[in-house]
Parts: sequence; C-alpha cells; structure tokens
Amino acid sequence: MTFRVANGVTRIGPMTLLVDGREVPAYNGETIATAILAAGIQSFRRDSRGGWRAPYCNMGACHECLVRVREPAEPAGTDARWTRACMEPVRPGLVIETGEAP
Amino acid sequence: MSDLDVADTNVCDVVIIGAGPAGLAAATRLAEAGLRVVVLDEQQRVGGQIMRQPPSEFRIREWMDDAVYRPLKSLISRAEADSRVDWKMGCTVWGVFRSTLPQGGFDVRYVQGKRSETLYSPRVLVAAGCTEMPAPFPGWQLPGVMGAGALQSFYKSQQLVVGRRIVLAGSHPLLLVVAQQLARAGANVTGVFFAQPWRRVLNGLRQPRALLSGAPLLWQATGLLLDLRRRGIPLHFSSCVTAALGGDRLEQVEWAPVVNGRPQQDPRHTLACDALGVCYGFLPATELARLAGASATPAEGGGWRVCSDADGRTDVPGLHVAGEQTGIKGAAAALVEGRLAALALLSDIGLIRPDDPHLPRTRKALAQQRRFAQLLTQLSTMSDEFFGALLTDDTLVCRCEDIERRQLSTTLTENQLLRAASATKLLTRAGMGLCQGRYCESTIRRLLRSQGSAQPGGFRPRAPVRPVPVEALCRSPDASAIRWDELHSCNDPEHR
Repeated sequence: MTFRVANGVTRIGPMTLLVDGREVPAYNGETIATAILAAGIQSFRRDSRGGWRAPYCNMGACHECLVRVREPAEPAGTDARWTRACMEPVRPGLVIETGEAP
Repeated sequence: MSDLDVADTNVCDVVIIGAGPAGLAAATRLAEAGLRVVVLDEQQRVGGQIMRQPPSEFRIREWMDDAVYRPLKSLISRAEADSRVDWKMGCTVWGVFRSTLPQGGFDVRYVQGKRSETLYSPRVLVAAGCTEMPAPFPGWQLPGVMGAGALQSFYKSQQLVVGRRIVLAGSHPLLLVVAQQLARAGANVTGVFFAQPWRRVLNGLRQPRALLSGAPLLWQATGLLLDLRRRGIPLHFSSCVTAALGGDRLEQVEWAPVVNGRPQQDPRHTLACDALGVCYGFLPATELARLAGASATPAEGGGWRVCSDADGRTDVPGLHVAGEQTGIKGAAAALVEGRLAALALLSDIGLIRPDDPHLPRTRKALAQQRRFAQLLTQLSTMSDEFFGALLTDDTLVCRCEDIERRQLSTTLTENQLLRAASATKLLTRAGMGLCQGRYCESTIRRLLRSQGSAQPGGFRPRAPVRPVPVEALCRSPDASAIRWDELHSCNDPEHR
C-alpha cells in the first residue's frame, strides 16, 4: 500500500478533507494528490473514453491528476473548480471530487 | 500602454524563471551585485525538481543526506536566507513577451492565486528545467504508472511512498537513485529494468576525461549498485517493460529482453506490481524561452534546446538561459551554468568587466561538467527504433486527447508530405490537450522521422504555455494589455 513515511518525519496540523463524500486525513503542507493517494485512492479523473487517470509527472506538467475542488466555506451547489492535485496544498475541510473528465 | 499605471513593485532588473540549481545560483549572484531580482517558480519552495523540498511544516531528521547533494543543499539554504531576492513561489508563468512598454524589455505574465500578474523587466533569465521524456507503451496511462521522477518527488517532498510493490524501468541512471531512496524508506522494489546492455555502460567508462569530472556521481553510482545488490533488488540489463496491465489500475507489468536495441516478442514475462516508475531521460522545458523568440535546435537526447552563446545569451537581446534549457546536463552543471549566466548578464550591464577572471574560470568548470553530461546522455539514450517498437496500434500517443498510434499512422500514411508535429496536430488533435503537447511531441516527431522526415518540426510554443483560467486573465490589473489574439488559437502563420 501507499504509505506516509513515519520514521524520522514529524507532521503537524492533522486535518480532514472530504474526498467523494468520504473523510480523508491530511497534514499541513501536503498536496491534495498526497492526501488522496495516502487514503488508498488510486484514480483521480476519467479520460474521454471513461478510463481512469492518476498522477503521472507530480510536477504540474501532465494534468493527469486533475480533480474538482470546493472551498469548505462555499455552499453545496457552488461550482467546483478544476485543480492539479499535485500542485495544490490541502486546507481543512476542502471538498474534493474525483472521477470527472475535464 | 502609456495610460497604464505600472506599479514600481512590478518593475525589476532581472526576472528569473525557475528556482532550481541554475536559477538559484544566478539569483544569489545577481542580488549580490545589487540588482533587483525577482524569481518565479510554480512550486511552494525553492530547489527545483532535483531538490524538491518538503513543506516547511514537515520536520525531517535526514533529508537528502548523501554527500553528492551537499553543494545543492548549501545553495538552497543560502538562497532561502537571501532576502535581497524577491522569491515569488506558487506562481505559474504563462508567457514571456517582448514588452509593450516604450522602454522595451519583457512582460512576464504569471498566475498567482486567482489572478494573472505581470512583471516588467529589461532582462529575463529562463531556467525552467526539464520534464521526463515520455516513452509511450501499451497501458502507460493506467493509474500507478508514472515517471520515476514523480515517484521520487512524492518521496522527497511529501515523504510518501506510492505503491506496495514497485517496478522501475527505463534507461536513465536516475532509476538506481530512486530504487535506493524508496527501498531505504521501506518500499518493496521488485525489479529495476535497464533497456541498454551492461556492456554499453562498461564501454562508456573508458572515457577518462569525462569520468574525472563526474567522479562524485560515479562514486554514488557504484555505491548504489552495491547497495541494491545487498538489498536483493533484482537489477536487469538488456530488458524493458513492454506493457502495463490491469483494469482500472496497474496490476502487473509485462517485460521482455532487448536484443540489438529492440524489445523481443518472445519471451515475454510478467511481474506483479502496483507502481511503475519510468525514466528514459529528460527533455528541456524550453517553451517560455522559445515563446519569447529564442531560437532552438533539437537536443541530443530529445526535445529542443535553446541556442545560446557559451555564457547563456540567446539571440534575443536581454533574454538569457541557464541549466537544462541549453541541453540536459544535470544539477551540478546547471548550478555552474546559472552562475555563468549571471556573470554574463552583469558584464552586459557593466557591473563587472568583460575580462573579469571569474568568467573564464566558470566556463572551464562548466566544460568539465558538460563532458560528463554528454557521457551520461550517450549511456542512456535509446534509439528511435527502440521507442518505435514499444508502440502498438492501440498505444496512446497523446494522453490528453486519447489519440492512439493507429490514428496517427493512418494520418501520416495519407499525408506523406507532413513534416511537422504542428501540422499533424491540426489533422489529429494530438497535442491540443491540457499538457499542450509536452507528452506527445517527441513521439510524433519520432513517427515523422520514421516516415523519412529527417528533421521534423515540433509544436509552436503558444501562450498560455500552461492552461490558466480565463477568469484569472480577466482579473489581471493590465488585462487590456494582454494580446488576446495571440493566445492559444490556430493563428500559426504556417497554417493560417
């Protein structure tokens, strides 16, 4: 399984994100991609043929890790925006949706 | 433009794009000379991909502790402490343009947060690094398959080990480094596949002059090989991964021996895994320099390198480049090249004399580094025939638009006169997607070469060089100065 290295690493600010309605733990400074992968979720978005995609470059170039996000303060029904999961740091309560095709 | 109020804070002496070894070395040297320097980088912290730092919130007991990283670590800490430089992190540069201001120079446009901003500067140094070379094979779009550098940066910067059983494949020595780092972190690396024969590595080692300059890296490589052996990680030469297999995600890889530079049809083996890191080399990320007008030429290991003089001056006055922009040569060389580009820039504006002794000294240091880089490229570059043999009819060439090799082959057969990837794009959509051709251009150029086009053209770099929300552009304080007609549309003069 994908795992956070614990030995010799101290993380602070544990928080919870909502990924597809499921509570997922994350820490200050992590990217959205890290939180999703660490939760055992391997698929991020769909392609035009319905296939699953996930991070390929982890540096903002390939756009395979796109997900939809909404700020926690925004009411449900607000349009989610696309973001590169590998580039955006997490924030408590962030609402994330996987599985859409850009 | 004259009616526009250009705030002082948006004007500087030099804009540096990229906070990797080249950008950092240049920034600290230029700031030392009293110049107003702004550094833009997309990541949250300086270091570039090679030294992709963990978030400042993490506390890590030993981070990149190998001796070979020491000069880079000290550069990073010097840079982060240097308050003379204006570090703008988390900024996506989407275009560098000749300025609309009467005094000339460049407009550097970038998105930070929710809006686009502009810096005006008489000089720009592009040190935007490189991306991993795409090498399409069946199933490479499956979740779990990624660049070896991506697996590494998840570990280096996020302290995350992706996958339970990890396979590494390609031809670049980075694979050895990644294998060791992940194994040390507790990962189960079940195989490392090098497509080239071991013999090629041994032959390469017979170039004493090149070897001398790369001694620290060679020492590291020797240690790596011994360590991987001690850990019992299977290391295969003359073998490559020919397919990633699985339903919704990677479940196993298929691999085959490579004979005379070609993967063999028989035998084919399988190996269960849930992560595969691939690295056949790197491509310079030169779209910003080219967008600003710098000329470029095919790079030895693939992609385009910016044409510059020995000190990083491009053919556009005021536009400088350093690091992988001028050809892939690694972090140690990039650091020296960044320093050299800074010296050249200082000499151009008269802050040091053209006969300053640091200039020839730095050039000499760079020449040494370059010899080793050339050796590395020779050892790790695979042929067009090899990459061609990895492609099957239904292999995705363009991941963004889901274009298979079959469709490209048909288009190329029907249009024998095609000579450039940009023309192929108009006929097939390959390259029109979100990555803007970064992950298909080199494959399409290979296909064009195999059809007899000796030096096929690529995609024309176009702003925005990264997708940015139109909303962010509209929110730009100088939105009226954005040349909307130049943005991402089919207005390429060749195809109008």
